[in-house]
Amino acid sequence: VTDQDTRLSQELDRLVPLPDGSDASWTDAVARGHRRRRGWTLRFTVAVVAAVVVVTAGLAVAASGWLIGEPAPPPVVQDFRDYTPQLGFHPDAGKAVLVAHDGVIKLYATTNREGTYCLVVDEPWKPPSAGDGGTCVPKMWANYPITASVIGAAGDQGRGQTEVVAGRVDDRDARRVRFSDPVGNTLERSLGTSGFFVLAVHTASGCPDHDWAPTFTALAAGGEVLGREQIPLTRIKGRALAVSAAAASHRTAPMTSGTSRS
Amino acid sequence: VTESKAADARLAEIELLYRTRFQHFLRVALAITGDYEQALDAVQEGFGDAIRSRRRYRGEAPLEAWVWRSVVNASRDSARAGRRRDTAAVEAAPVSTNGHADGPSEELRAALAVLPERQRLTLFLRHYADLDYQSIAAALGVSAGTVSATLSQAHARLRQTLEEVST
Repeated sequence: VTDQDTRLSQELDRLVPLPDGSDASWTDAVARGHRRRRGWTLRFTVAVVAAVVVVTAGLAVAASGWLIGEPAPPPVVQDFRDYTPQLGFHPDAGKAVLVAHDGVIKLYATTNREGTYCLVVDEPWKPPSAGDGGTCVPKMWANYPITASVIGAAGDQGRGQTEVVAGRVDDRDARRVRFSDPVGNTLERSLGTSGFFVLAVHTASGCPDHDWAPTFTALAAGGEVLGREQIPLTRIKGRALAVSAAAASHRTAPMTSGTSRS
Repeated sequence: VTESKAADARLAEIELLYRTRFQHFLRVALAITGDYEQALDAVQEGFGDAIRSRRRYRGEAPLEAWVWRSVVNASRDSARAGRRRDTAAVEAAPVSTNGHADGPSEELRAALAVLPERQRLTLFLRHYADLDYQSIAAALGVSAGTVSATLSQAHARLRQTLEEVST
């Protein structure tokens, strides 16, 4: 190595210094890896699936862009209508469809003017008059390959707590989703339409006494892992909160909830 | 099942590569595009491409070289898509002044800008990514011998520039 080589090396270093790595985002890279799959092929697939379902089953399937499913009943449509616009979202209430269910718990979704989607969960313990205004997903979250949030909860008469976890896997190959409950048990469910899922997670001891941030795994039909995402679902300020089994004990994560109608 | 496990393992390898070598990928992309935002976007797109097509990776080259090819292609696409000419990319690259803003770097930048693209990319991958000849060859789709010759030509040209500046 000559002096000239050393000097050349130094000059090249001056020209383009090593940048810091503070803008690194693996999550964004993964999202891009999944996002480009969406395109005409996905739209074509959704259109074909919707058409086949309508023709062969004769079901009244509603399609709102990429959202497909049975039309939501009037109380759910009203729930979406009651979403507080001051929160920054305007759900297309009339386009709401059923996208997933777990037993008697049903998840409804609709598009919104902001280009994302809003959710309403229908739980058996929710009084008919108690609309929840829905939960809308900011664009940043909607772009991730896997999204999830606790969107409902109820105490179970001293026998524990039930959390309703809902979300979406944005991967056309995904068929199931897997994650763990607050005490580490593995949960797995089939996806509904448009990649949505909903689960009732029962915890015998009430609220978890620690943060609950499970890793969600998207699975293909053959069990192949398509992606993973760790998502904080509940954050507990202190152990005192674990004593209370009320739904409001949790500070739930990432989506934006509307207010109840008056 | 075996294939899915392999794809899963590759995803983990790509993630490790991203986490350990991000700055180097960004540095090369910056040298190619000459713009920080474009470079960052190119790195993310390049890794996105690699993640998406990882099932097609057949081990014909080291995984790192395969990912480098993806990031370099994304950077070149980005540089072309931008209004700036490719040769202007290096002109716009940031310069660490460190109290001596004037000096050979200006001439060196100009000399880099007029190098043939293959010489420039080879030089960037060797110097800014610290890749060996085999990896550079795999990343650019040429032979290791070509890398050696190309790098030698680029160095000769740049050394000449430095000598001219010094005299």
